[in-house]
This record gives sequence, structure tokens and C-alpha cells, in this order.
Amino acid sequence: MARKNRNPVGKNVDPEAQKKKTRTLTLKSSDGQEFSISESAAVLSIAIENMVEDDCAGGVIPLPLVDGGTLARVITYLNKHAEDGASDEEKRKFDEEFVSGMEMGVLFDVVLAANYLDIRGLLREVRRRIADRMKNKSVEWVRKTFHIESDFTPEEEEQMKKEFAWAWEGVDSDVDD
Amino acid sequence: MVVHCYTWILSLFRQIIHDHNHSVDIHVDYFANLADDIVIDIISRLPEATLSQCRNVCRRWRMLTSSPRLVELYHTRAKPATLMYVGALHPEIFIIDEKSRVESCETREIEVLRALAVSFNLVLISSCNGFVLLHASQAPCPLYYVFNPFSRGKIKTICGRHWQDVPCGLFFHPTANEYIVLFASSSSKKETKSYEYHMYLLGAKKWRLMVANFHQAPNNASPAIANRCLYWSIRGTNILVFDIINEKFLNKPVPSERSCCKLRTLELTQDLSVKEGDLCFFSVRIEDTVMDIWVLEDNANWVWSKRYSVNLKWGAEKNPVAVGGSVHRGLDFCFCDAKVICIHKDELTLYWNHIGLLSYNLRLHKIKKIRVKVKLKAFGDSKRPCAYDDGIGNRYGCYCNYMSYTKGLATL
Repeated sequence: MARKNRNPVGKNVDPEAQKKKTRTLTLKSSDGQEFSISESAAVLSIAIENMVEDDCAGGVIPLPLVDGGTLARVITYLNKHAEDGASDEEKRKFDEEFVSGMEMGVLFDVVLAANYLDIRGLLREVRRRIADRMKNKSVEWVRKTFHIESDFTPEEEEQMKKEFAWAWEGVDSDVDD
Repeated sequence: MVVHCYTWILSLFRQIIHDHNHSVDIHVDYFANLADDIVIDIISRLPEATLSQCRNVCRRWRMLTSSPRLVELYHTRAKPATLMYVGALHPEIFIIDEKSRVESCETREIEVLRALAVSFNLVLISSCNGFVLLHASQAPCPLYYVFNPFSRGKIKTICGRHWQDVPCGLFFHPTANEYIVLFASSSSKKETKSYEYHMYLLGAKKWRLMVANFHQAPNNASPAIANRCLYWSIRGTNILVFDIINEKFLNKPVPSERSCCKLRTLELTQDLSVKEGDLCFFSVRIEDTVMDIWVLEDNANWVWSKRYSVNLKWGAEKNPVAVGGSVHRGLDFCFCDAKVICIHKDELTLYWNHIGLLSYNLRLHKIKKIRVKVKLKAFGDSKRPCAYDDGIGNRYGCYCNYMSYTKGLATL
């Protein structure tokens, strides 16, 4: 896989910074793509930090649960948050834009990766974004959007419509966003 | 063997698909791979109407939406509304949100309460996770009621142990997975005044004596619940803390600036509240009518920081109070009942005697009166809503109580 040139890292790494800044790690995705990333950015993931500390990294860190596309996104996030000059305000703005353009499926890939890699900030941001998109939606919308099959019996479904029927006011009709 | 084969094929299938593209294309349940705590975190951020929809998505979601963890998270995050309880002969409960929208809680249960209240005189004590605790103070035996006016659940009745017992609050015990009502009774055994505490477990319907003998009892104000503790302010001079997990009482000082500790402060009926999971203490300096808002940053070490200062002069200038023909512009007049209802993000909701409900924006420093219009059944003409500004209660001889309340779907 000669995809090293595709990774967005390299340029952002400041060579004058401390050891961590200069040392780079290689992350390998489930589909074999390799990404290099500065150690200072990579250790924002608690899972990677532990692997580095235990010294089981040995050059390449395999991440069998994260595919290449998702890993590239996660690395973009990590690089931004490891940037020296970035203010909190700037980071917050970046977070906002980072998740706003994502499709629903991508959000779930990222939430899984962030959970696996233990990146708290990213995990929180994505969870908040998923909740934002679910606001004021109906059961049908939720099932359709997330491909969830109802496992209730028809009798139970009938019963549910009666329960909390008053709370259904103010719920959007089933328009996709 | 068959199962093994099946999982192997499934994982192979997943690999093939992953190699092709990411999982967006395949129609699998997006939430299937997420751990319960992540799903709970996502749905706890939803407004109550959407949450009630989520209950009906599938069995897993139904189970998660009724889990104690979800209820706890949801109530820390949700924006509190104001519960208005009109007592006396005709108890009525209304939920007032920030847009002054009033929701009447018409339920069969409230009808039942009305029937009881004619002779029992119900008083609202406290609220927790959508439930309210009422006390029938004039019933033949001490009676307490717990129910959820929003989810319209059934009433639970508690027969009290003793007349002298003081109901101190309703709370959820996370390790026992139980809703508990705490009572204090002055101990008769000792000469020095001390209290013993009893808990009533709502699910198990059992009484339990708590070993904690403590020389102080909470007052009538409803407790603020945060950090798995209950907090009562004792006349604005100290804070009584009840640690739910360890079942221990502690007495702590209220936060104050050391340099000017002799400042006189105004005693608020309710001066503790919870802001996104953090305990807040409100103190009003009499000299310059400024309200300081303190936030408890570290519960273990009792570290507070002063987050906001609100000048209360607006209260007198913008809302002059007309009582008995003369207009009072001074704040001193309003001392008898002033309390903090809730604080959420930048919005502070206050109740000021003879002015009514006020909403203050802490960032923009803007004050807005929350106008409440309700149809009161007690006064006949229910077709025409009357403005329930403060004073009407007194006029009609009602007892009226405002309290922070987060809508929740939990039922007992």
C-alpha cells in the first residue's frame, strides 16, 4: 500500500519541538493503510499512549478495528489538537466544523474509533452531534436512519401508541434532514 | 460448532465489506456495535419528547431509556423548568418553561389528590428526577405522596411513622437502585437535642433506621441534589450535607470572602441550586444589593469559586411593587420570600415575593419577567385564563410554591 503520501500529517510537525514532537509513529488501519503521526498528537489517544508506554509499539501500531478513511479523519483531529499555536476557541471552532459535515454513517464510524482509541474530546463531540440530529424526531425516523428493526410484537406496538400519546405533540413529521 | 462457523463467516463477511468501503453502505443497526454507556450518553442529551419516542424504537432502547444511569445523566443535562404548585383546597400543578409556556398537569392522579386535599391540606416538599413529594399535613395519620406529574404515573402513598417526623427530601439511591424519602425525627432519648433519621424505600415499601445521629436537621427548603449528596442550607449560615452512598451527615460552612466576612446577607428561602451537575450557593449582600453566585468546584475538599455577581437593583426599578395603595421600590420590602428556582447555562430563574418569577440572563445582564397565565379550577371561570402573578394566591387564600423541576418519564 503506497498511500503514505496521502496522509495529512508531516507538514504540521514542528521540528524544533521536544522529543515527542519529532518522534513519529506509524498507525496501520484495518485495511492495511499506514499513516505517520507525531507522537505528541498520537498520545492524545489514551489507548495509543498506553501502547507507547508499554513499548509494544515496535515501530508500527496496528489498529485492526479502524478502517483507513476513519483513521485519516481521526488523525486530522489529533493533529489539530496537538498544534502548538491553536487556542481553545480555535479548537472549539474546528471541532464544530469537523463533525458538522459528516454523514450519519461516518459519525458512527468515528464514534467507534474514538471509543476504541479512547479520545475523550472527540467522543464527546461526536455523541453530541448525533444527539443534535436526533432532536424532535419520531420513532420511524430513528428506525429508518439507523437501520434499527423493531423487535416488538404488533400488540406491543399498538400499546405503545397509547402510552405517552400526549408527549408526541411537537415531534417533527418524518422528514429526512 | 455451528455457532463458531457462523461468527467466523460473519467476521469474514465484515472484512470483505470493510475492504470495499466503510460500513455506511450496509444496512446494519448503527447502534449495534456501540456499548450501552455510549448509547445512554447520546439519548440522555435529547429533549423529553424525543426521549419518549426513543423508548419505542426497540427492546434494547426501551431497556436503556429506563436505566437508572440514563435517568441520572438526563436530569443533570436537561434544562429545568419551574413547577408551580397551587395548594390549599384545590391543589393544581403546572409546569412553566422558559418561554412562559404553561403546561397543566391534568391527570387522574391530581384529581385523586384534589379529593384528598379538601381535608388534608397538601404541601409540596421536594422534587427529584421528575417525581414530586407531597405532604398531607392535616391527615388523621401522617401521609406522604410521591408521583410524577409529567409522565402521569400512579401515586405512591407513604404512611408516616410519627407526627414529629420532618420529611427532608426525596432522592435516588444509585447503588440500592431505589427512590428513598428521608425523614428526620428529634430523638427523645437524650437530653441534648439530636435527631435520628429514617428512610422509606419506595420500591421495597420498607422503613430503615439510619445509624447517623446528628445534631442538626434539615429545614423545610427542598434539598439540592448533586455529587451523590443532598444539600440543605441552614438559614444561609452553613450547609448540611448528606452523603447518599456512605449515609453520612456533614456540616459545612457556606462560601464567603474572608476580607469582608461581616457583611450582612439577605436570607433567601432557597439559596442552593444545581447548575449542570455543580452545586451553586446564592448570597445577597444587603449593603449593595448584589447577589453573588458561588459554584462548588471540589466537593471532597469543599472548594468554592465565585462565578457571577448580579446587581439586583433592577428588581426595584423595573418592577415596582404596588401593595396597599403605595408603591414600594425598595428591595427590603421583598425580604420575606425570595428564592432561587434554578440556574442552567446562562439563565437564572428567581422567585421574588410580590414580583413573581424572573428570568435573568447572566451573560447579557438582562432581566425578564416570566408571566404566568393559568386557568385555576378553584375559582370557577376556567375558560378564561387569569394571570397568575404573585399576590393572587394570597388574595384567594392559596398556598403557592415554586420549585425547580426537570420533566422526566420515570414511573414508579
